[in-house]
Amino acid sequence: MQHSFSVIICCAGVGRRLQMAKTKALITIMDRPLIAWQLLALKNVSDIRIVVGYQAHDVIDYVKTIRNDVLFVFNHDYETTGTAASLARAAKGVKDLVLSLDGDLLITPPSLQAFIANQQPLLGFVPVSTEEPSYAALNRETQKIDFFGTPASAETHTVVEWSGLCCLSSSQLQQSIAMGLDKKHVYQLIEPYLPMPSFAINAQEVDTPSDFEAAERFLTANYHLWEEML
Amino acid sequence: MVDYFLFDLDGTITMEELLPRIARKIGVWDEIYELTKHTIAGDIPFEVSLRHRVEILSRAKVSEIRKIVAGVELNPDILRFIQKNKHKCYIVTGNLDVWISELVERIDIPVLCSMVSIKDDMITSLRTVLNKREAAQSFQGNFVAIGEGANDYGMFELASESIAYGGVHEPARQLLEIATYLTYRSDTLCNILSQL
Repeated sequence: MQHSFSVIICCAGVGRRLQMAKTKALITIMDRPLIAWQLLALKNVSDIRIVVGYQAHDVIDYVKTIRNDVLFVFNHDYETTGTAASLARAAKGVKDLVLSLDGDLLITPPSLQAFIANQQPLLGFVPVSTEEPSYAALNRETQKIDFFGTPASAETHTVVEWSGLCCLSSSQLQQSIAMGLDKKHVYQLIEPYLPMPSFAINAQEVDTPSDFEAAERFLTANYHLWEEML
Repeated sequence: MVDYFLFDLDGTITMEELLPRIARKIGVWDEIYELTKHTIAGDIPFEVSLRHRVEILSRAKVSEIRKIVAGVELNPDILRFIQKNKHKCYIVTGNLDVWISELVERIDIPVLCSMVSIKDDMITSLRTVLNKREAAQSFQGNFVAIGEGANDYGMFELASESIAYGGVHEPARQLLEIATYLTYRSDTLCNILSQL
C-alpha cells in the first residue's frame, strides 16, 4: 500500500554556529539558497510544511517565489525551543508518515527520493563528515541504528553521523509528544523507537563555517544530480 | 478536536475584497482604495475605517449594493470544505448585514457581522461594528480562525489554531506574528483544516 507523506522542513532556528547572521535555509550555495536545493529535490512531493521562526518573512518571501502550495508553520518560540518543538507543531493532524529534514541539510534528489521510496520509519545517515556531528551507532549485523552517541565496541557497531533526516509514523510522533519529548531535539523524539532501520544518504549538513565550505564542494561534485530538476 | 471554524468573509471565502468591488461598481473607487489598503495592513483602526467607508458607499441604495455583493465569486475549495463541515462553520465579518445577506444565503452558514439601520433602501446609521475578538469570545470550546486582515487579530489571539490565508492578497503583517499557519493556496488551506 502506498503511504501518504508529509514532508516537514524545520527552518526556524537562528543558525548561530554558522555565524552568517542568516537562518540556514537562506544561506546561498552556488547562487541559490539552501532551501531552494531542498525544494528542487522535493519537486514531486505535494504536502510540504516549512517551519519558520527566525527571519520568517525572508524565508516565506523566498519560498513563495518557487512554489505557492507550501504550508508555513510558525514556531514563534524559536529562541527558546528546539527542532523537536518545530516538528511537533508541523506534524499536527498528519495521518500517516512524516518525513522530517532540517533546513541545513543538502541532500541530492536521487538520495532523498530513494529514502522516501522506503515508505517506512527510517533514519538517514552519512559517514562522519561535519565538524560537530550527531553520532549514531549503526549495528553492523542488523544495519539498524541502535542508539545515538558513540558505541563502545567497533566490532559490533560503526560510528556514523545522523543527518537529521528521519521518517516516522504519525503515531510514533504523537506518542513521543505525549511523553513530553518535544521540547528540544528531534533525536529525543526518536529514541523510544530505537533500534530503527537506517538508510545511507548522499548529503552534507551545514552547521559551521567549515561545513559550509564542505557543502560548496559537495554541491559542485553532485550538481549534475539536480540538473534535471532545474 | 476542533469545535468550530470561524471564517473571515472578504478575501477569504470571497475571491475578492467586497468593499473595493462595491466602490468600483458605484464609481467611488479612488475614495475607497487607499482606505482599504491601509485597513488591511492595519494602519487605520478597522472601526474608524469601516465607518468612513460605509459613509462613502452609503450613497448607493442598499438593494443595489446587495446585488453587487451577491454576485462575487466564492472560493470553491473553501466552499466545499464549509459544505462538508456546515455544523461547525461560522462567518465572522465586519461587513454589513444588509449588504451581505444574499451572499451569505449562498454559503448557508450562520454569520456574525456589523449591523445598520435603513430607511427607504438607504443606510441611515451604523448600529454596531463587529469586534471579532468579542465575537470569538462567544464560542465555547476549541476553534480555528481563518482570515487575512488586521481586524482578524483578536479572533486569532483567542483561537486554538489560526491560519493566515493569502490567496487573495498578502495577509496583514501583524497577523503573522501570532498565526499558527500561513498558506497562499486554498487547497493547502482546506487540507490542513480537514486534518485539524
